[in-house]
Amino acid sequence: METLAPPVVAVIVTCDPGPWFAETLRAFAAQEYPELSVLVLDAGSAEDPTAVVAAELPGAFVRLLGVNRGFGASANEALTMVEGASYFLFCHDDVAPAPDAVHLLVEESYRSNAGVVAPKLVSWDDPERLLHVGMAVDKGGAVVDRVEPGEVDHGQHDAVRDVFLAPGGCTLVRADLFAELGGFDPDIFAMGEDLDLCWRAQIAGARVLVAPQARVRHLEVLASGRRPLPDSVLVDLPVGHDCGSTHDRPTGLVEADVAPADHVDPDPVPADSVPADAAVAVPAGSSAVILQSLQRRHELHVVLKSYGRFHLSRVLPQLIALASAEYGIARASGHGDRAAAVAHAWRWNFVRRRAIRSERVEVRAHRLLDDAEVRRLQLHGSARLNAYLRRAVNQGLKAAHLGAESDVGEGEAARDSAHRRRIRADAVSLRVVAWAVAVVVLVFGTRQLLGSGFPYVGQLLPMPSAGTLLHRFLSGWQPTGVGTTDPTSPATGILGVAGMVLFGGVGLLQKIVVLGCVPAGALGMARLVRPVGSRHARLVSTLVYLALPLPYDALATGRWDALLAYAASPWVVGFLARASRFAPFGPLGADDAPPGAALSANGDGATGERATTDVTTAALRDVGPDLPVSVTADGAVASGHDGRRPRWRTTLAGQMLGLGVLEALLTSVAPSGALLVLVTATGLALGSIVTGGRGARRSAVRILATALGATAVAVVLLMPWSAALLAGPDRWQALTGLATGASSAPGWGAILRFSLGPIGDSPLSWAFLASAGLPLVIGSRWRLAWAGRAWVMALVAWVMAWAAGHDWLGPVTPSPQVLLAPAAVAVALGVGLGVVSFESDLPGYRFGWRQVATVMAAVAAAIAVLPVLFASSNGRWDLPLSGYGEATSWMSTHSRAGDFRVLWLGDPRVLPGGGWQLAPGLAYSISENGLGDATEMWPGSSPGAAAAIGAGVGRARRGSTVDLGRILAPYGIRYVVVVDNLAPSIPGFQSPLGFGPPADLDAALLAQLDLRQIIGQGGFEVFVDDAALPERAVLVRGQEPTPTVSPVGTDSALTGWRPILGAPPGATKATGRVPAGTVLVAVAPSRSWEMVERGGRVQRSERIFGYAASFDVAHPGTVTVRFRGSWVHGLEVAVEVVLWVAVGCLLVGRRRSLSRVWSRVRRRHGGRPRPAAAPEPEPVPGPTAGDAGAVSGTATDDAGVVTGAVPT
Amino acid sequence: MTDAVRRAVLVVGVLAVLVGIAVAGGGNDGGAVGGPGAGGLSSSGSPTRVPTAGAETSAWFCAGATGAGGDAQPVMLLTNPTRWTVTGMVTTVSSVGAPTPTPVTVPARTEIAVAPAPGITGGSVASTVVLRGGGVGVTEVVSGPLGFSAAPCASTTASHWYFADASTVQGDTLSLSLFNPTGTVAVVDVSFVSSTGLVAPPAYQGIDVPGDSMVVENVGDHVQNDPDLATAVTALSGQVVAAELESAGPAGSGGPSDVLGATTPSTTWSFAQNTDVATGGTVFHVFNPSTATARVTVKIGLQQGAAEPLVMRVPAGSVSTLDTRQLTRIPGDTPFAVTFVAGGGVGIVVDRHVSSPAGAPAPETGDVAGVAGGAVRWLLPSEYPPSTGVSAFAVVDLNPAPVTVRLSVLSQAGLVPVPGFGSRRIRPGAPLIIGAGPGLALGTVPSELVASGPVAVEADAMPVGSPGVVVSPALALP
Repeated sequence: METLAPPVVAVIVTCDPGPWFAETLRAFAAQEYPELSVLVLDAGSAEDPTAVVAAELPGAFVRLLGVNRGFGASANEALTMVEGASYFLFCHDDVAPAPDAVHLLVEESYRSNAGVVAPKLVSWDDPERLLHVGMAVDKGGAVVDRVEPGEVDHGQHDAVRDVFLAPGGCTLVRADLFAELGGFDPDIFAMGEDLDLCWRAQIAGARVLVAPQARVRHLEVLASGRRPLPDSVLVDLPVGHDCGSTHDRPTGLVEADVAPADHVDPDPVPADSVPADAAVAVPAGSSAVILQSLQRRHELHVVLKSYGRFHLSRVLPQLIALASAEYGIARASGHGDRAAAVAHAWRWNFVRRRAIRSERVEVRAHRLLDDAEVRRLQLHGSARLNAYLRRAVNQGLKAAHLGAESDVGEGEAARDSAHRRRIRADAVSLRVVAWAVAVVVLVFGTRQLLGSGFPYVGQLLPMPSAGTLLHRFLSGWQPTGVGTTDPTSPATGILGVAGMVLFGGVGLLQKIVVLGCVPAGALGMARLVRPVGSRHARLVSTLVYLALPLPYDALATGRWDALLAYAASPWVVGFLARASRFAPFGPLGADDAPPGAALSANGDGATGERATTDVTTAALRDVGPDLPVSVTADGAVASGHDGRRPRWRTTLAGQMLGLGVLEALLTSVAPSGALLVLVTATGLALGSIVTGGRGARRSAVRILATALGATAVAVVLLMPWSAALLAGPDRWQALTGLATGASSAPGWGAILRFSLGPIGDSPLSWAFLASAGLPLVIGSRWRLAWAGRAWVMALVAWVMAWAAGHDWLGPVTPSPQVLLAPAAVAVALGVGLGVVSFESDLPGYRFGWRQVATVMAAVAAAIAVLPVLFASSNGRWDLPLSGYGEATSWMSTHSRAGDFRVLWLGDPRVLPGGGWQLAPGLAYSISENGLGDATEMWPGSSPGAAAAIGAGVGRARRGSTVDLGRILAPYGIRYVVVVDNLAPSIPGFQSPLGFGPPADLDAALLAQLDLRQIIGQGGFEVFVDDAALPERAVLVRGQEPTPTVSPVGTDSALTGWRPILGAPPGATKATGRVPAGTVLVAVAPSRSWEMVERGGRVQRSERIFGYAASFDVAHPGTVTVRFRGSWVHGLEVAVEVVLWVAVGCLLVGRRRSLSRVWSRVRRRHGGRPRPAAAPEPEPVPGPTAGDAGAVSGTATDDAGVVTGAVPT
Repeated sequence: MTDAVRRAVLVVGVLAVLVGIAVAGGGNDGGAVGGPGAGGLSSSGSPTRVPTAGAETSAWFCAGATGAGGDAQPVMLLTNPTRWTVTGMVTTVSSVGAPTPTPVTVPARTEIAVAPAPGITGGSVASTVVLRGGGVGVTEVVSGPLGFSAAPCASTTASHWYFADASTVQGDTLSLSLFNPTGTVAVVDVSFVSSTGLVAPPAYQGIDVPGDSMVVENVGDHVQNDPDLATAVTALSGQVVAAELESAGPAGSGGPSDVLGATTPSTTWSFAQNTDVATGGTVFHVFNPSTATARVTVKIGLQQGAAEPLVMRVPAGSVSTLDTRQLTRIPGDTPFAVTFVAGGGVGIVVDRHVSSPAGAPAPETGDVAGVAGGAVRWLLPSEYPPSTGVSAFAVVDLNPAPVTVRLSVLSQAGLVPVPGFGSRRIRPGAPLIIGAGPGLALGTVPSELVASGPVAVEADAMPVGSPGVVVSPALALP
């Protein structure tokens, strides 16, 4: 019957079609369009498809081309074969148009006067899933899809509209336009012929439309890797030649999204309707790489031939720049395939530059619209760059480098897999980006400290050599003060060993142990928050902890102890939290599973998988002796009842030991660290009681018991140093800290903002508190309880820090910076719990103020980061550029006149090294021949003989003496340095923080008649005592001086001494020639020193000046003065080393034997497991609760024993 | 505990603690570093406070004297109220020779007079008295053709010194002694406040005073013909002792004044005994070296009753005078005590210029610094050379309540209550004049006065003319 419908010829290009081809043919046979003819062009199939065509679509025409020249070149045959057609419908052999599809396409073409019309392409197997609804293109030819992978068709794209690209597969083209354009570009075998045709069509003035009402199913056999490309195509591609041919566009946002080998779904699911054997054995990854290469080179080809000169001159440099950047990034990130594809694209087109030139002539001949008109239809900017940045932000750099979030495969399963991977990539990439930013900020903010040594500020004194450290640890004599045989901190030995491990690089060691505190603290925070089960919470908590000003202020003020407290606090809180056994740090029942655990339950490797293991492992590891639960290496959980043994480290004793070791390490370097543990435990225990709940009191007791037990362990490990420190109240100073001046104590605001230095003194820093308060108002159950515990812990720490700063704690006055560390942990934990509450609790509330509070908390957390971010620009966290090392370097040159000592006076916050307290806000320390070294952080348990020096200063302050120099002279103190500032103040260069000593000190020193001030500005003062004796001196016999007149009369004891026996600071032996006379060795204790004279005669010392050693040398000659060690000290050191090694062995490794012993002991004592502090039951919130395959393996029996297994 | 209860407890508790401590600590936040500032003079910082008896060593610094033949030849009175003999060294530096050390021994509970520079002729001298021990007070008495004057020596060096009054009018000579007994070089700025305002002579800026040396400036060389001149000495580095020696008028109508400066402004200054005698005069000079106007209340205590206090406003950096002869509220020829109290924490410095009636014995005029603050124990030297004894002690009660005072003399047997004195009760602000009388011998032995509350004490050589011409503040004991 004659119709008025324009004739349409469907041109189906096929090559070795699969079983789907029959369905394709049937679909065409079912078309309602009356004037449809079908032309099947077979491009060199191994098997003639004529029979199939004849069977399914008898009216179709078949032409065997004999060779596969690609889709475009094959389709061009229609130009010569067909006459009288109004439209060509170019189709792949794996499409199935709906019965009305052709009709709708033609209708829309007429209605819109379009030259090219594309249908809505949907999934072959699941027609509800969209593949393409037209596509967009940027100025570089990069194609951007308008639908998301796997997007379900709800009619959301059903409006007819102009598009730049009608994707291949099924495209209606007006026949006259096709003829005018000369058909497809025969140079494009696959991947890009549609782009080329559409671009040229628009240059020729034709509209390109998408008519979504026309639906076409598409199998995309090429993109799924089922169809190989011929070797002729692969010959110059940068991949192996294992493909066949054809021409589907892969599903993806841009063509660059075609995944490389390492990102392709390893198990592409074939279409249900397609037999497995239909797929050609082409590695999907290789296929994807090939398609990517093809697409890249063809898009460049299209660009080069389609733009006019003007626009090409503008676009081309941009493309070169982008390609170079992409190449470089791909190379740097190890994605060689991607880099090769970029290079291949340019090389391939460069080789064809003459052909391109002629093609440009042809395009120019058809041009009706200039490029400006055409470009209006293009995307702005670079689609590829945008996609890269978007992925970098949303998914991480790795995903961005991969450039893939699409599957090459198709089908629902594949899309689900892609979706899951994207979820996982989202989480991973967000973390990676956040961590990367944090690392960059840290490195950027610390950049000036990485390459150079620390200025000698506060406790950042020069580190002695590793040998010296070990010598001091082993010798039994410390040069602190004027010498003491009190034990030294084990930190001396630990650092000495570490220095040896670093081949003597003590500078590097100092960098590691100082700068490493910040990442160590962050790592501890990340581990602390891990059991809450939310990776976002973990991330946010860690970032908040990093963004608090506390560590940077500690660094800026040279407070190593505060840095160590910052590093250790999260770990300490972790130990105590596990000891509390409160969920999620304690045992978890199914009802208590944090959201991450439920999320992870898919067991398919999605986001929560690792979290599940983390949560459960952490939870089960910490249940303690009452719950004999073990977690095996493969993640299985077992109880003592099923014959498996508990890991003893999870017991309370194990926790005590672990925390004890941590406390010992912390205390050995920062003695007030012991208080830190106790304050933290007190806060947490109090928080447990305040928040209440079942077993709260028992948990509080466990927390305190763990802290006390750990402290006991630390005391044992730190023997004999700890014994010396605890010997009496006068020796507790090192543990309790040095009182600072109450008048310059930090205010409440500074305490709450963690701003005890130059950083963070901004109102923005308050915002963290606001953010940490979120879980108190939106959290519920364990989240609310832990938020309460954290807040109480923070309050305790804040109050203690504030009280310590104001000298309200009596003799216990640790540095507020140290005490603030638990509060910092609490605030960071609070913010993290806010995130968990946001994820778990907020959805349960109706919209209202809680949502607003959440947004405000998020904004607060974001802006609170700014002060630290700004401070990072300094490059050294405001640490002064120059310390007292430089300012007093001239002193060492004066040792030619005999070794001497320097008395340092000042507020403990600015005094270099450590010291002993004289009064609140005033401490003193003593060094040799200039500035001391890092061991002065641990001045010993008591000043010993140097106490007389402090007493003399005290008398001077009280006005009880006017000749302090006479008091100091026998101790070899030639210089008295009073520090007002953290570092010397140099106008225009640095203005460090200042904490001046009590006002009367300066006046008292100036009033001394035998001290002479030689430096009185720059933030420090130096007085010289001209009468000071050398550290080692001789009073030559027969040359005794005439008594001289001092301000208070005649005095001969301090005159006539000549320097002898020069030696490095801290040396325990000095050898040299001395005249006959009285030899003074101004070190204590005198009884520990001896002199070896010529002939080996050993002479014991006599006491002189009440503390020092003196020897009578009868004849001139070479003598050696040396320290006489004690075997007792050797034994002490040996025991100490053995203890450390033993404890290390207990903690390292799995210690199965201990676990067995522990289990046996429990059985012997009838240890029926007691239920732990049972958390209140809680339904798992959120949509993940009911996920199939949830962590159902974790359950709690009546005894509270966790049974089952955790999927891994 | 339900979540709602728990939440309420936590939120309220956290807020309560935060607010509570913020309120409790608010007063302490941002507190300034304590120091001697403008608020009252701490007794320990007083330059005339006797070091504690338990001190290992102590020192006194006496400046403002001249060598032999000069207008103010010094004698130092070393008064030892302790039970131990104290030895030491007096080292005298002069502008014309090397330092001269002189060993001294001060027996327990005695007083010795040391002429530090018998061999030094001309020029200015200053002495450092260093003692092996504390508890000993040192007062310097200078004498010359114009008469004599007495002032405590300084027991400390300081960075700041203030003088409320001096005169450079024709016939008056004003010498400013800057004595540096320490080993540290001192750099000193000197400025004046005159009737025309602040004067800072360039020559007096950055004066180098080497250690163990003295620089004496004739102020009249740069600030001429000014009858009321206040002085401020500031050591930019190091510390010094500053004293002014003023020789007023010709012999027969003038007198020397050896005045030790104040190291810090104080809010309370007392003058225990003042008497407006006919044709004589008593003028107080109130120097406000601070940057804020001082509102000064002048409390006048009479032996019988009290006069209405008056209020002075002393602008910043200025000197105001108060001539008591013009105050009708004070009866003539009647002893009265005056206490200056500056409000608002603004520190001031006050001294007094007294002139005798015509025809009185020399000296006819004298300046004396007031007593800053108060103390409960005072050391009173005995005899003023040349052979002029102390005629009276004057005590004023600075307590808002009555106090009881006891007077003892130093003797080998210890502190012996003065026969016939017993204890006296003083009304707040009222003066107590302890003069020689039957059974009460003054001026022959050193004494110690103990009060039940803070009082201010001065010793007056009244027979020289009218009360207050030659007065020395007593030495506060710790």
